[in-house]
Amino acid sequence: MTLSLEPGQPMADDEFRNIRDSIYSHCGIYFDDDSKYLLEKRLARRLSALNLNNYREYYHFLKYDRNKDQEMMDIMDVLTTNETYFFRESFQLAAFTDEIIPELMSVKSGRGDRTLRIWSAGCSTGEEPYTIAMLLKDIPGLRGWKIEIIGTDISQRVLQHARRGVYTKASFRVTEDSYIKRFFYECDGGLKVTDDIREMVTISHLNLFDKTRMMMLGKMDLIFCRNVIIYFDLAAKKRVVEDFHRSLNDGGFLLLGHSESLMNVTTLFTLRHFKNDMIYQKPERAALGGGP
Amino acid sequence: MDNPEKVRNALKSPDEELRRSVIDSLRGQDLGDVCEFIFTAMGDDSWRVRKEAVNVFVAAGPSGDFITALLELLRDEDNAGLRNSAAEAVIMLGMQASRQLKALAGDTDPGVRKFALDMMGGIGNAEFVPVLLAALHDPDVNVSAAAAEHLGTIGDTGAVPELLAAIVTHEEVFFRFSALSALGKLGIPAPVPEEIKQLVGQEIFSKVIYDCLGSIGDHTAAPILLEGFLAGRKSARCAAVKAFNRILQRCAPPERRELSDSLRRLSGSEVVPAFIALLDVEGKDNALAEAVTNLLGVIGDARAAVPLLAPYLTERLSSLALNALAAIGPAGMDALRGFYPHADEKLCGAMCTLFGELGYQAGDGLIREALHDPSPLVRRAAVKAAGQRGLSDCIPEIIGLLGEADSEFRGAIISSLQILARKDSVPVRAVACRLADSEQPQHRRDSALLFATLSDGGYLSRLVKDEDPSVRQASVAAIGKLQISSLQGILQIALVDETPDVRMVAAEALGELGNAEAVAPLMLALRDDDSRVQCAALKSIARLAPEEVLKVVRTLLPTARGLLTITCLEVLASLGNDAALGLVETVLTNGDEELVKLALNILSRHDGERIVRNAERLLAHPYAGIRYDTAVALAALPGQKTRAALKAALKKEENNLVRDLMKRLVKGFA
Repeated sequence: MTLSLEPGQPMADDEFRNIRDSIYSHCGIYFDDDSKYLLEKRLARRLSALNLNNYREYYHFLKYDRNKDQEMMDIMDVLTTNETYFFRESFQLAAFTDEIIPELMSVKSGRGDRTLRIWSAGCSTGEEPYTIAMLLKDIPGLRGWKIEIIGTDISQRVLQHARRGVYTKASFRVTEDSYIKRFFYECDGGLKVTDDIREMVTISHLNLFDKTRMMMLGKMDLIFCRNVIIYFDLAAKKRVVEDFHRSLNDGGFLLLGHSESLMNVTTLFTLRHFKNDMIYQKPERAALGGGP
Repeated sequence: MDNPEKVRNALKSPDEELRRSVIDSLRGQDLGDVCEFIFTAMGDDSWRVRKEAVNVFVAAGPSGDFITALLELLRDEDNAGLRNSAAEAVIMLGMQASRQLKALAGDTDPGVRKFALDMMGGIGNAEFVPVLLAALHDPDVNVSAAAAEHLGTIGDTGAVPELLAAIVTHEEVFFRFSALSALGKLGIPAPVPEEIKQLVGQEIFSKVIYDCLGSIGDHTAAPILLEGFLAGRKSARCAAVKAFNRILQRCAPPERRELSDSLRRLSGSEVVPAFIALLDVEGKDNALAEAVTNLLGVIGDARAAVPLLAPYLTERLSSLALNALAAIGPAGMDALRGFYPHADEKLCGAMCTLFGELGYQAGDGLIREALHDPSPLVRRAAVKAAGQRGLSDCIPEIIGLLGEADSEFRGAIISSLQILARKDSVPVRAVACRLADSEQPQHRRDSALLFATLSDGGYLSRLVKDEDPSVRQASVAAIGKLQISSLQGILQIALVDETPDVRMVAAEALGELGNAEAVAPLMLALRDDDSRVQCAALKSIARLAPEEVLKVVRTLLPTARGLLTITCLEVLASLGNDAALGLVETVLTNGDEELVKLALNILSRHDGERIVRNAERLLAHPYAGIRYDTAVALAALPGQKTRAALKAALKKEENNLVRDLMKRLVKGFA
């Protein structure tokens, strides 16, 4: 017998708490009590797809079923909102191109190091890492540098989109025509990022709660993590930001969303005042007085 | 026993279960008090009651007098059930009954003597061989035939000369049959006396003689077997062919050359069509089909080429037929070319494949034509053959077939282009670029394979970022194979790919690059939740940092399971030093019997003393396979200690297969 779920299957308070806690322990995304309706609405299709009668059964599925890991992956696609666009938060990008990159170039080339590793954490459908690549392409001093831009996200669905690099109008709301002309070409379904930009970017899957995988990405010079930690509670924020700190080279930068701050989260970073924005920086080891 | 009368009455009850339970209740009681009832029950109508009685009797550990009494039951001519139960009990008692059995072999009653020999065969101990050899000359043919048969069962090769002699002197057909079969089982190749070979002249013996020669004959049996190829009865012809093939397989190179020469002399003769007529790939006799296929190749008669297509198209015989066709050489291929216009698509495809595989130059024109054949099957075979033949002028036609190809066909096209790219890379690169821009993931995957052949790291580094995991996987693998160290960073990031197959290949590829800097991320990959990724990472660490890997395995092993433990063991085996073998030894206590077997196998190759140390526990292992392997491993080691361990284990062993092996091994020690 196939059970069909009536629309609006209610989620009891204890079911909400249990499911919420499971999601939290998986990836740090926290749904407060006001989010019960949102969770109920977004997970209804999963109940239906799994032929489950109610959210209690769904919680048991998440906890005990042998496919629980895959299910957790799948609901990340449902639960994370992924709305983004090219050249988002332009004032911060100006700080990135005009101030931070020149500073990094100066420090690194002084050490004879001409590599740059940038991580776009929570990159969603890829607009951010490709934006970074386009901006770097326009910095003449970086010619001959080995640049790696790594975009990661927890949702597998958005990764496919990011790797494909094909975008529609909504992604270009603030993009200048000159960029569109230079770095995109028309293809079925929209505009596709040119190969030279795509070659600069590697898209991969990452749960920011997975410390081992995070370490595997290696050391970074700069991390963009904009509008991601807003989903986390304080404990989760602390955990993720401390891992970012570990992933950054000394003197590396952490760029958060304009409404995000590390106030009350950690004192590991110093806040640098640039002309265009305020950016968190991992202090140089010497400045901290640390050993070798 | 409280009331013998009650037992006696119960044994007369029509209720089978009551009779059985009464016998069961006698278990553990003084045999002197209950033997009468047990013997009665051994003759019961019900096999369940008889079996219970046998078990109760054997479990009582009967002394000599009871065994003698038991053997007396064999004289009961009216009750076959009773005789069989008694025989079963004797076999279960094994060598405890040997003295009485040997005495019984000299009984005046031939029926009893035969029973005694049958039980000796059932027990299967080499100690009975002298008695059986003596019984070969028993005046009763049933007894002498049983003696011959059981000499074969016991498997003492020392009996071969006496069996051969007995066949010569003993003219009874029944005896000769049994003795020849026994020789067949013993299987020690040696010259066979002429008297025996001459038995072939009697048609009734021809098949069994050929079988026997196949088993025990050496190259000197060749002439008689060659004659057998034309024997009147088909069964005899088949036996001769199989026997010849067996001898050919096992004899030393000089003798093999001699036998092959004698076969080659048949080329062009009338024997060949008769031989070909025996080729039945769909028949039940696999050994015959194998023998005919193989020998046709040795004979080298081109007439066999077309008939050999049938075994070539049969998976089990395919490689044998390929060898045979290769041995026949160009004349055979010429025959196939002549047959091609008359063949169906399946055979045409097979011929194209053969022309490619065997490098038949005169078939190139036909391969070119076959690229335009209406049958996809033929076109696919032609594509493959064109690649193997290096026909680079066919590249445009091959590329032209890409559009219509299914996945299997496309695989053949890409494989061919990979080979042909070495001769002419320009058109192959052009098609690779076209495929790389395709909307179809499988085309992009194909392009990765082609760029790998073209050693084009630039394109591969783009494809490694593809949205389709199969493209990423193929590109990552290619980067590893080509050892493009500048792309190591890309491989490291592929270690966090969402698709386990990509992560696994990335871990392998990092090992292939050979850069020790990859060890750190590979160490992290050991924590991957997919065991195949962990295994690949461990193997790569072993390649990149052999001095570190022991430490890594030591950490992994206590919590590892399944595949990862197997990989740990393989790594330890490759190290082969004392510390590594110490870790292998710890796996002998693992709950997974397959892992224990693997550890045993490694230790038996590197340090058998560690098996001796664990022998007692391993020989009492609940899994019979472990006990079996331990026994084999111990038998290969020198020393009294191993023998003592085996003998002790034999007493407790309940599994027939393991017990038989242990018996043979203990006998081998002796």
